[in-house]
Amino acid sequence: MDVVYTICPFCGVGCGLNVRVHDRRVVSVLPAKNHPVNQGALCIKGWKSFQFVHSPQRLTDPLMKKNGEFVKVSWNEALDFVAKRLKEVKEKYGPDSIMFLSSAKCSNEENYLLQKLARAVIGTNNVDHCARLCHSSTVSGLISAFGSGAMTNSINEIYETDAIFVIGSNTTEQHPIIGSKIINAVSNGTKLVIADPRRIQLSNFADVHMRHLPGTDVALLNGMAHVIIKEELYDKDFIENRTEGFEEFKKLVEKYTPEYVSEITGVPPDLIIKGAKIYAEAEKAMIFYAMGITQHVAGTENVMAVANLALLTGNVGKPGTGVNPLRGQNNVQGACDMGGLPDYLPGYARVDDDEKRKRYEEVWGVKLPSKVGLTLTEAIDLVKAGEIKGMYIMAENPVLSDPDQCTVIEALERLEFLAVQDIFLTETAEHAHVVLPATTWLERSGTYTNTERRVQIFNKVLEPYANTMPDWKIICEISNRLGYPMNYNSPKEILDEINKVAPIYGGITWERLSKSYGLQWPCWDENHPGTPYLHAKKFTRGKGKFNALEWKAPPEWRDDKYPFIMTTGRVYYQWHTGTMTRKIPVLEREAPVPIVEMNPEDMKELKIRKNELVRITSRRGSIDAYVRINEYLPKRVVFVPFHYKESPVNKLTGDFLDPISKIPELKVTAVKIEPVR
Amino acid sequence: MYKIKKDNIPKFIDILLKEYEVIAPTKVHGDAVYAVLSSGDEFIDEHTLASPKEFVYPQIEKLFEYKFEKLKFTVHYELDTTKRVIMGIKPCDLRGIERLDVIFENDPYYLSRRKNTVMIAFACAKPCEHGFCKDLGGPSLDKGYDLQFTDIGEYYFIQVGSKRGSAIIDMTKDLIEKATDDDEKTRESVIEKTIKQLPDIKVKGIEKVLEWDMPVVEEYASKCISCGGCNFVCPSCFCYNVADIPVDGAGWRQRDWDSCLLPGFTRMASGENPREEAKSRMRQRLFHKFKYFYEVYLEYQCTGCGRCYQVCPVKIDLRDFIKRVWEGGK
Repeated sequence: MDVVYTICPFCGVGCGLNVRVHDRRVVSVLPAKNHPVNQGALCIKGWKSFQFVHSPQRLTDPLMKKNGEFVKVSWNEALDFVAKRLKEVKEKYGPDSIMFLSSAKCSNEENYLLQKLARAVIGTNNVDHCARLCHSSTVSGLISAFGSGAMTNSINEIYETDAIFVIGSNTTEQHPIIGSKIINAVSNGTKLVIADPRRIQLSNFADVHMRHLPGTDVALLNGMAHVIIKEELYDKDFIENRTEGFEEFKKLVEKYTPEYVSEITGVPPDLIIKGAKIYAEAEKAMIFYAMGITQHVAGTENVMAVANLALLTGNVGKPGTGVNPLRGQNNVQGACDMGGLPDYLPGYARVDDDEKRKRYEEVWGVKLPSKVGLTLTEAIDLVKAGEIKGMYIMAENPVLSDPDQCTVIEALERLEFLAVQDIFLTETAEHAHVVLPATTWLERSGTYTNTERRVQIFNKVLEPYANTMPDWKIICEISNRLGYPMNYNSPKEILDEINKVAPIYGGITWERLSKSYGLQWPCWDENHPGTPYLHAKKFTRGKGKFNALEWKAPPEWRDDKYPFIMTTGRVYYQWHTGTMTRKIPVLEREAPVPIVEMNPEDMKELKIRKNELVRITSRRGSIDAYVRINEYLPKRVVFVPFHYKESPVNKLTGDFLDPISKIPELKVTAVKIEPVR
Repeated sequence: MYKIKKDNIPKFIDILLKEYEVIAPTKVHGDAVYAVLSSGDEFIDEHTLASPKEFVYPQIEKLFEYKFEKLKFTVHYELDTTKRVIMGIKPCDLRGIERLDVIFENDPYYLSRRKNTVMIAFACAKPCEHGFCKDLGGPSLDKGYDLQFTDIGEYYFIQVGSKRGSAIIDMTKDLIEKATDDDEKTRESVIEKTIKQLPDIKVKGIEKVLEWDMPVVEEYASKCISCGGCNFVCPSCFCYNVADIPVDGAGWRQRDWDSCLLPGFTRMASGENPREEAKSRMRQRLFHKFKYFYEVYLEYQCTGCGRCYQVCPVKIDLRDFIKRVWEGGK
């Protein structure tokens, strides 16, 4: 039989796929009908997902830069070189001079091994990944409010809730199967409130669409809280028994009247009142949010402000409620769970917690560093400062995904040692000293954790292409060469170890996963059924905490010289830096060129036609893009996706960081726009 | 008229496997899917999510390889001549493939596969969950099959529709028994019972009442998330995208399944798109199924299989569409 069940590699929804192989090539993909998440459906990316695997542009052999040019080398030469250079850099500059980037595209097992390589072998907590750029503020914000930084509830609870509030998420485009469930729920009578500067497909179904200006989320959310308190729609029992900090919060939001908030956000006062009432009057209500909340200088505060609303109305700890961050990458939840973060060991034990660290030291047989490591965004700056000398990047493409591209490239070029492990020669890999060719998801197995904390096995469908090697094997080979043996024969053996060290994964064994559609953490032991929703009787931190927060204006705002606010994001048909989707013809046809969405009134003022090429300029650089009309964008706000290497929007964004989570401000950049003629 | 004991189906397939690649529904991680079987006991008589269209018209296929050397182009292509049996194909799915036949009548890639594929249809002994084929041909075939099996209890009743079908009966004669008149009557009553249980959805004549601006089309368009799933599982959708994949002075041309619900399907090089709005794309799909195709071929491009509903993330339902069109399209 030639069909294998596996999991989609794109977004955090984690849909089940049935993949058919003929003559060592994938010939078809079908949605898994009985999978609890996708239930027989897929988005267009899922349907076309397999095609990049057979791209002739795949890396086939290890590459080393000799005299400025990449040459093919043997695995032995490449791996020996990586081990030698890591050792040399460590000896010369110390373990904290090396930065590791793990990957939200790789499996739990691979992320686990990479952070182990950093911590147990090199001896540094300098390990981070692209969650820094998407949901690091969720982790910090929700840990502060609830004690756990993950989606509190489950996807299918959309079908049992009474109201849904979506803020900063274009759900049908970026988490299409979740978006479709929201549409289905609304068709059956669930109320829907949207807050988003852009009109999105879900707006078709919304009872209220609040189009607030980018960067004004805290004001809007405080305004909704103000209405809920004033109208006495808050849950007094819940606040009394399960939360702390309410009085201070109540005092603070007093001044956030609908009129005051309207001035800041541009949303009419009556819409704020209506939106707040729908959310608060529902017996059960769910909040969904994504990058529109997190990718701000005030990212952590935005997340806390979202959590405040749920605490205020008692919408946490039961089915059909919760604060539900939609995780972007297929395994960004897992990469965080596995300790691909500079401050957490696998299972969220803090690196500076001497008591908890002991458990890991016993299993790993070494003393571990206790100093919190560097975030990805900080590390780039420290390369410039000369403190970071070596970097090891697994399956990430910071040249396109990180803010302020010129600075990133300059930093990578300055490194004494850069190794990149990927499936294509990415824009980042081009700057490496050595490139290690990895396999795609179809050529190995492992586990991914989706946005609702569901850990699932993805099965191997094909043998590795050409001379490529699975990521977990590459890490083992390097570790062995550094004198710390990693002798795992399969991903299963790695998961066995994860079961031992990370209590929330305690009962998530390979055997159980291979017979099921996954298990949701926390799952403490082999008999535990998994946890569909968190904080049922008590919050992870004890009591839920209200954070009283003032709205602060973003660091950069439109002015006479740069009269537009640019917000960045993604389009339905492309995936992140386009490494995979741009090699899939139907997807590339759908979104082949860099675009900028503009309001027709702005276009008229600037005398710009539809589809015309324009130059977008910020304080840091310029890019060109084709104009698309979005009549529902607020005036003087434009939207630009970040997929395109020919027009990298992160040349324009600034390196303003959230002081708590270090997430960059990717949603508010002041720009000007001129036609290119 | 023949019959075969159900218990003998695995052996029947094992004999076919000596000469053919056998494609049939099987279980993969809890799902019934069409797959290339390695042994007869993998077979299950269950309804699948997708039609087996991809075995005559693959999701993706290389059309030819090209090379540019010494100022000369050379092209190389191969046709798939694998001998296949599709075992268990439903009447709706086989009718869908007959719609493809008229579209691909000059397509060598399609024709080669089609010609080399034996169709062992399974008439429906009970209605499927979402089918509405009553007015679109019904649960049993009168023609088009090589063999047609019908579940009559302990046995499958077998009808022979072609010489290739008889040849298979010869190949497997040790497992085959002669059917009786009673068996035939049982078959007829099984099919009649299925027809009775199918929903009463009238389709014939719908092309005359479809109007350009029906609110139901707009309603569906506002929900559609452009996944293409309805096109991909449909037994009769045939559109494809063509792309060249260059590799150092050489490369190949491939085609893969396309969807009329994707905006880029009709976008032109300038960026202009005659079907810019979701509404016009949705209308194209529905009108093509129930009007345009009919006007050319006197048959609907829908066989009532209900697969598009099963795979649709937002549950757009052709049964609902048809009913509402008859009621004025509101």
